Amino acid sequence: MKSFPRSCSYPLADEIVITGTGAVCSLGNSVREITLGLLSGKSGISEITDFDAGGFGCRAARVKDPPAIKTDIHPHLAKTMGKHLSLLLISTRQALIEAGIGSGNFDPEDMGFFAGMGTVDYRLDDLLPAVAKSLGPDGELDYGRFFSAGYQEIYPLWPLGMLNNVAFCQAAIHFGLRGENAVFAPHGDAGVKAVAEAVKVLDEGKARVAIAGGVSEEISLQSLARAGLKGLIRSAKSLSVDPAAQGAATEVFLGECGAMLVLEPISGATARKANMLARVAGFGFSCHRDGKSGSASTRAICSAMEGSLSQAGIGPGQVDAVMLGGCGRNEIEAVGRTFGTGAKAPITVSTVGSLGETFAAGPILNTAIGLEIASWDKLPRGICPSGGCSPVDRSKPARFMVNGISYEGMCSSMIIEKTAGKSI
Amino acid sequence: MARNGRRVVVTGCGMITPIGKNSRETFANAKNGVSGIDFLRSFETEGLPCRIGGQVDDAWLEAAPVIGPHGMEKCSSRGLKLMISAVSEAVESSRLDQVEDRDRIGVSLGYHGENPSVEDMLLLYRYSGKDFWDISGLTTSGVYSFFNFFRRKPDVATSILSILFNCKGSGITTVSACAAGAQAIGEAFGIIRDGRAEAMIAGGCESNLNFAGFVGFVLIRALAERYPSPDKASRPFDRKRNGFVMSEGAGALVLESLDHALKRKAPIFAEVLGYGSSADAFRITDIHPKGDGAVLAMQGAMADAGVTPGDIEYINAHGTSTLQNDQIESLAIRRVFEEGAKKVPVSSNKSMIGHTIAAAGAIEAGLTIMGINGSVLLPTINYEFADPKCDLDYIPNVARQVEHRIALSNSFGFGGQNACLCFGKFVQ
Repeated sequence: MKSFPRSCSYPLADEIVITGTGAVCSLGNSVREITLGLLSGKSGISEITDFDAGGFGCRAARVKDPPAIKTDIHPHLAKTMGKHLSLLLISTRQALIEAGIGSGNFDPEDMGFFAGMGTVDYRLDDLLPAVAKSLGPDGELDYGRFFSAGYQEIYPLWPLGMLNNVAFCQAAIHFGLRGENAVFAPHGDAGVKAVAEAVKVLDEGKARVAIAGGVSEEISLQSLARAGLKGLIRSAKSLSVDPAAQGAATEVFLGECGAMLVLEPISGATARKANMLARVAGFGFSCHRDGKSGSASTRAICSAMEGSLSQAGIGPGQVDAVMLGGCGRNEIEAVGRTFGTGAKAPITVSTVGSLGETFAAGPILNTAIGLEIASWDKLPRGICPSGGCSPVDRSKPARFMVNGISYEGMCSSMIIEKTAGKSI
Repeated sequence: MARNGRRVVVTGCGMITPIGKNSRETFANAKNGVSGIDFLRSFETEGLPCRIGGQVDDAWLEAAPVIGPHGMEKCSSRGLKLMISAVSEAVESSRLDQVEDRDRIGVSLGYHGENPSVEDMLLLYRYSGKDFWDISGLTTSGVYSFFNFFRRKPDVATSILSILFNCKGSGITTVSACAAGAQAIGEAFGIIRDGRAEAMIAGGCESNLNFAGFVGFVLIRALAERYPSPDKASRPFDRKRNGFVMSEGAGALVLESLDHALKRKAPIFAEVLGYGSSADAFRITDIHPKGDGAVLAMQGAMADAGVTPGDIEYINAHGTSTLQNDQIESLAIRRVFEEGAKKVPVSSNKSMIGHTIAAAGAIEAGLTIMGINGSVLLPTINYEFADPKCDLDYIPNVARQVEHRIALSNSFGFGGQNACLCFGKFVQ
């Protein structure tokens, strides 16, 4: 008999609904395109061709040629923000369009903005010319040269490349979002936290609409090295780290993604006749590291899931599907413990095998995909291409749980309830 | 007093700054107008136009008790070590370790991770090819430590704090530049108020006094370059201010639901009344010229607290000592407080401590609370020449003994994220 956390729930004064979704990832530039690609068995994972990642011997789910969005910032500054900016801009724009929100619909001060942003990396080519200019005849760094001449080779705004919030701030500028805001970092739990914060702000009446979601890391040599050293990708074998010991049930590839939701109180959405896609019913959070893997422990994931069920006021039997944060063993075990493994257990869905580990964007993308699938008559087979999950044919899910799991011990869970459309 | 949800109180406070190894020492020195700014010793600054900063004495960190499993120090950046020191003090003052149920205690941290060192860059350079940098070769050769990447990730610090202080509730990492510490406290406040946790360790830390953290700000000319002596360089609101002074430090609070604190008879230092955040949505590198974002954040915090401008008796300003910030923050205060603006005392702790970036909001929140409890308004030192565009009461140079009950603490982040916290004297 499982136990629920004692008091994770609080009553929401007003129901909060999702009125728009947007996503871009390796399988496409819209939620529908991504979902159709998944269902037809496509994988976004491919060889890395635009930089030399040969030494890592790995592939990734990269976003190639994302649609351009014109901004008025200097190209060098935009470059500093990297792909973070385009992923965030594209997904936010899609979500706003779907929600029917253009400039003038809301006072910018009433528009909240929350995102989980994947780890950012400084660009080596911004720094290395300074090093090259500072070497002495012996090939060693000459600090005298470095501080008198070398450092002046460095692009002044390069430190922005190390701040997760800069692309977020640029997106706020682009869309004129001036209300309550926060940036969380950098893993799957951060995306759910962004949505939870948006719901809280809307519930408290501090904003009338909120855009919330997440952006993955940009795949680069540094992100591959980081993942390899952490043991997330199989190339790490050369470093004597066994991915299996890290709790991964299947091979993980990195993926790029931006995914955003538009959220509104039901009263506001009703008043402006917005199309209500779903209700956000509950959240749960926890933090506890598995001593072996360093990832969120089974116990912590159970606690987060139970917290979200508790806040939603439902039991495990009332969940139709679980959108997994990954395919880690701890999560699969936690789902089994919480929901059981019998015929009545919910469908478990994982997109990581096709779309890669997209960190903060993952749970938001899964929410958008879940909503897309839930609008169809049947849940097709083939949505769960990775091992450890068991897709089955059954009626469309009306209520699903979305998990966001960190590789540092944090984990989060939220309950999404599909609505009929214009009214609940 | 909070507008909705549960009341949230501060039951613990800790900090480590250039002017003190703990909150008591920092507050005492701030009260006496002591500057922590000096010539930098942490890295070679020969040839740089700014050579000063606010360093934490290494001896203070070395004297701090080592806690946690063996090997943890390898994962710890200097910023995180500072934070561990601050949190240790906060936890001890709140007696949080006596709480048995750890599932309902979380951590909310504002931090940006550690910067690469010059040596890192040289290593990367040596592993460069004609058109690429051979990070693969670098990592597989073992010369580049896994822990370098580990220390870069801000959430690793949050996770380590959760482990060290046995907090199994929500773990949050906020990254909003100079507003991160205040935002971390604001987020923790919301989590407790909403019933998602009973207590949160909240704050921020930063240690940027290395080449990589420093040189970007040198190049954008944000740092003070003209100063007769280091201690005179940080001069918020003074007409001769010419940039901020980079510092390092950490600040931590223990926030707790009032019921939980009363039940366990925890010391209560203050009540968190409200929190407001906003975005300038103007330019990445410039503040909104009319201070719209700052106005929104202050108004948001007061509305959240259910107080009016007339109730505010002190403002702990962001006050960086840059031309732009101090002028626009003054304008924003005038817009919010209108004719009452000149009657509200405003001061900047950065005049003594310098700018600790992600730690600033948390350190300043702690000092604001200590000021409320000690009936002390901390001064703005180095205030010598009035700037006609900064025409408020900045508590120049000398602290004042004044009882006050409700205060705001402002933090404005690079990129345009703003945060304001409202604290009140605890009244049961």
